[in-house]
Amino acid sequence: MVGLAAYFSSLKLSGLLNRFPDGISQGIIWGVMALGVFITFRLLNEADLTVDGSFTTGGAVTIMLLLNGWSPASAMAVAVIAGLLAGAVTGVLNVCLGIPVILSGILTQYALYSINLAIMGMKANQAISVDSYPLVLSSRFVSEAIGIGAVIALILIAILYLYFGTEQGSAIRATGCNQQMAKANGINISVTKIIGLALSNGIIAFSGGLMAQFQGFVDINMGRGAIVIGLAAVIIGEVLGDALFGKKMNFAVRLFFITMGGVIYYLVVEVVLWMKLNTNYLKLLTAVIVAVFLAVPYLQGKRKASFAKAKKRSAKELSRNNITRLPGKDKDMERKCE
Amino acid sequence: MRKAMLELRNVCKTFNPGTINEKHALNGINLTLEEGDFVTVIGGNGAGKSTMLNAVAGVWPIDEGSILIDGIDVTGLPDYKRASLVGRVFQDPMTGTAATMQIEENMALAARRGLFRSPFRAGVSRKERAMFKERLKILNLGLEDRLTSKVGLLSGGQRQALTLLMATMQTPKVLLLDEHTAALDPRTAEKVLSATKTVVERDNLTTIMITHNMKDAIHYGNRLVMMNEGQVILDIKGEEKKKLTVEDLISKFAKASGEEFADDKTLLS
Repeated sequence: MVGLAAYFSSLKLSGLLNRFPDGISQGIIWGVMALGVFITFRLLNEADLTVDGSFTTGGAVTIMLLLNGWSPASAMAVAVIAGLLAGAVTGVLNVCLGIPVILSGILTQYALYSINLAIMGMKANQAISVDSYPLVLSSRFVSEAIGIGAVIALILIAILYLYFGTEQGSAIRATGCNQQMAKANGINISVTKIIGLALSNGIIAFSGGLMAQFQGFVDINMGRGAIVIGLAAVIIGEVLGDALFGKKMNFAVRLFFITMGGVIYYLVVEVVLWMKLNTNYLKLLTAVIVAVFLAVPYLQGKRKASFAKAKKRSAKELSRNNITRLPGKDKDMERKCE
Repeated sequence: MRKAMLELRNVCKTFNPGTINEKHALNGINLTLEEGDFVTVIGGNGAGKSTMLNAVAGVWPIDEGSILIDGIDVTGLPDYKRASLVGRVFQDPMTGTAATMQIEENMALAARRGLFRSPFRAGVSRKERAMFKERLKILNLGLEDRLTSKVGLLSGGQRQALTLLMATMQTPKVLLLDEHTAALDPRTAEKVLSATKTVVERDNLTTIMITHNMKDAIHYGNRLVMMNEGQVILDIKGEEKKKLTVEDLISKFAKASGEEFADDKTLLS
């Protein structure tokens, strides 16, 4: 009891509030990444695991080019191109060689580990100081980072909203929704899939570039588990948006909430850290949360039509007519089943 | 003679070749449709009716023979490249439309068959919306007031009717209907069929309609084709078609296929 009291008294609210800005700024960056995950996971209806590699690629390209004296804008533009290529490779593996997207993504991601190391000059990490280089944002100036991150996220949401309303964007959405319909309407689904995967990983690399600048270094493992955090952000954002807007949620609002999903995820992480829980279990916690949210639609569907309920209804009806033969309780039936 | 709009010349297709599931679905089928022909196709299970439509649509490459649409050899083109020439309505109402997209978005996708899809042009233009409304009015289903509704909210019949509009949006050279009313209740089926007739007659479309309803096969179209074992075994046109009865059809099938059949189920299914 004394220990518990001491634990609670050691938790100061001010400490939590001080943590929030950092959580928000990181959350925005991961929210941007979640927009990329959203394109494949929801619009293309595919699980793309290239993410873990392309996020790091974005960070590595950005940091190395900055260290070589490039401007942040041009460094990040090249990072986006690198991400586009990574996504296109996954797309080509899938479309031209018939490897399922999930495996194509794992292959690309695996290959990217070597490529990322090569980009980083065969070192596992590379640091960059905000004092000597013109970084877009940095954890040293958190409130600025939040502002810049928010502006970038809003611009990106606007671009994606407009793009997925265009002829090409609609074709990509149709491909993810119904491939047969897409083909019957003259859409080359090989091309739309590759474009979608490339676009997704371009955005992810872009957010990787932001993240590396924010934390002041790029690490070969910075993308590990990025797909899970991205999924968490997508799911949290959608659940929240659905609760607040319901059927009125249009595409732009949905994108906004997905970015917010990243922020909420990182605020939760900050709370966990503030509560002095062992951060080792953070990944476990995240995985559990994502699994639960992914399971919800399935379980809801099952609740409406389950064998267990059918059995109950049937048993009730039969017992009313004094028939009680059930599998497992009837020897004859058991023999027949064998 | 009118010009030939669709020609199948000695088309062969075998599924699962070299395995115990080997199936010769099309055995050198020959069929020519003249411009404006509305052909109804009947035949038993596994007669190759759907396979023939899929061959025309380009779902997979055929093994032998040629397919010509309006004189163009399309044998080497995959389905998405034939889409500007071929309109399709499927048996399953879920297949022809994108459920998570709006009615107008679906129609706009169909309106761009065979065109380059730009990443800078709007997916649905204001001009188009008015045109979509006009087209939807033909169906008489009240869809013209629901342009921004998600297609997933529509009934099977409404979706089939919408698919029909989409398939004929860009006046195709050939319209393929694969038992497109089979999954609907009789009253809805009737509505979709009459909409089909309206559209086909309005645009003078060259049409193939597979049906398992012999009355529909007789009632609709100017020509009736019966298939068996991947070939055309009966081809009835003109005056003969107009006078045709269900009894005629059953006895003709028995004669043509050299098979007796106990009931008309084999023919209907």
